[in-house]
Amino acid sequence: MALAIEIEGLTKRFKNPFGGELTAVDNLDLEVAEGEIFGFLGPNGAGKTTTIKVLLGLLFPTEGRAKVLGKPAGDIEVKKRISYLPESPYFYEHMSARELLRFYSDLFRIRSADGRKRIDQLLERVGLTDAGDKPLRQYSKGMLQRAGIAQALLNDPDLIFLDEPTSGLDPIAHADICNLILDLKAQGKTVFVSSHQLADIEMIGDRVAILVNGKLAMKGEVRELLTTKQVEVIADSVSEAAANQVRPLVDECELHGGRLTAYLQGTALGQVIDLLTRAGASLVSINPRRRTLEKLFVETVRGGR
Amino acid sequence: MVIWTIAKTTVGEAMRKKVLNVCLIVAVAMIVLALSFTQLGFQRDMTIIKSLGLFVILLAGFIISLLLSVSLIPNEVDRRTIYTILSKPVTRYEFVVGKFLGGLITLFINIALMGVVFIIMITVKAHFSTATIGIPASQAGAGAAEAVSGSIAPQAFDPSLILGVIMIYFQFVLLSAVVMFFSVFLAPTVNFFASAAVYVVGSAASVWQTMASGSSQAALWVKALYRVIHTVVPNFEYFNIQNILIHPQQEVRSMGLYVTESIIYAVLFTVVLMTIAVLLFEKKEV
Repeated sequence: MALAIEIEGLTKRFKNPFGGELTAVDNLDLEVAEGEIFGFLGPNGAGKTTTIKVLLGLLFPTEGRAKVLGKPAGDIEVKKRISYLPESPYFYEHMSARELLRFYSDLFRIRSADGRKRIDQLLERVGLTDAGDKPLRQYSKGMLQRAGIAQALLNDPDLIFLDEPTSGLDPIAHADICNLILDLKAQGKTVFVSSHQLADIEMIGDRVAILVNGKLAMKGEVRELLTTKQVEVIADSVSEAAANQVRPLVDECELHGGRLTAYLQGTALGQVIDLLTRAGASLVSINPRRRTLEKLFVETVRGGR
Repeated sequence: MVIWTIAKTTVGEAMRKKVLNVCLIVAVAMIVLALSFTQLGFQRDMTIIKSLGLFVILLAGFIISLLLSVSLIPNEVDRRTIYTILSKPVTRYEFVVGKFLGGLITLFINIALMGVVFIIMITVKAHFSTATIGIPASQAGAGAAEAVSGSIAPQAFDPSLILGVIMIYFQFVLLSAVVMFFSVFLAPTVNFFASAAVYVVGSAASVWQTMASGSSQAALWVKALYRVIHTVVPNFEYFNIQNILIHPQQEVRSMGLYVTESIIYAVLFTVVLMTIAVLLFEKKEV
């Protein structure tokens, strides 16, 4: 498995002029494989943006090392193959989206004929073809985010860093950006997403890491982290008496208006179904129980503090 | 190419800055209004108008170069545009030099505009003044001038004023380099006052030189301090040739050579300051 990002013992401390010190990232070890969507999560001030800035070469590690696409973070050759969309991006307001993309394509040293073609393609891809010549000061937040995504795709990057790509967007723009991230994965790109939109990461992410107070509190595959050994059983027309018979066999049980929702270990499943069937209940669903990423996040953050 | 791309964008943005536009408009208005000065006779009026015009360009150039350069890099950091630029294959050297070059081009456009208005106004004034008293501007020689003011000839076009404007530009190239140098490690407000202080100190270079000389009564360490100031702080006095231009009767051995030397001095000092600024910016976290 080739690695897109390798972080070993990364520590970043900031010093103020009075000698005070703040540890933003503390001894972080992290690996991101090529071709995956990696969710980088954590509460505000956890050190996510600081880590991304170190990976982009905007900040320098106090200790440890960070490699991007096999080379030290900040390497100019690597920058040709990566891209970055900052949180709430601000661009030169006097420019149109087309001028902005031309500016960035010049920074990527893309030949002007190729650049023009690529700009037209990207404006279409992010839905800004009609607004492409309007000054950015007239853009809504969603349109600016689309322009930001377009600039991040100019160089057809192998690795993209997205910092809160869907925050503050309407549901359509939100869905478009999620789909775009999935498209990028389908093309074999690596996407490193820092986000508070946990439902998005749960839906599209392959692996996640949760950072709390600069330290890595949890990391792993989304599917594994959210899957439990419990089974969820939902049944209708359940009487109070039947529910009372079920309760000793399950871990959690709720009865509301005749609908029973129970969480139990797989070994007790046969007994519970038997019991409910005999009591005249109708089974609605039996599914493996999944935690939500939000719940996992809250538990991890509270546990890490 | 990247440097030029960053410079072009910097110019595009700077030319839309309202505060700079207001400075430029006020300065141009003052240059135009100065022409209405008719009090002391043609030659003295022209002296005052030239003096006033060059002073207005100097003052406006000072304000524009300071306000412009002080915000070139900090604005990019505050608005986070620097993140999308430096995360591209752009070296920090290209970024700093591109911003600086953009600032110099903007400064050039502003000073050139003021200079052109100033020279046109002076030329028009000279033309109409000589015409009013019956001397064709093209023939306005020494004899005619003496008839007008008892002094030297009013010229229809005085090319030496261009030198004055060029010297103003180059002293603010140097000031911009000072500001860029400070902007790598000072906050914008502190930088504004520090750079302004350097300009004031550098504009009195001959004073420091005199104080550092043997004839001064000051203590040795004070003299050494004056010598350090005289050596380290850029000498902006070199560029103040307004008096020579306004009073053309003053003899100057070789104006062309003096201007060339001063420009070389500005360029070399700028290169040194920008090299240090680039080296510092390489290590700066953004």
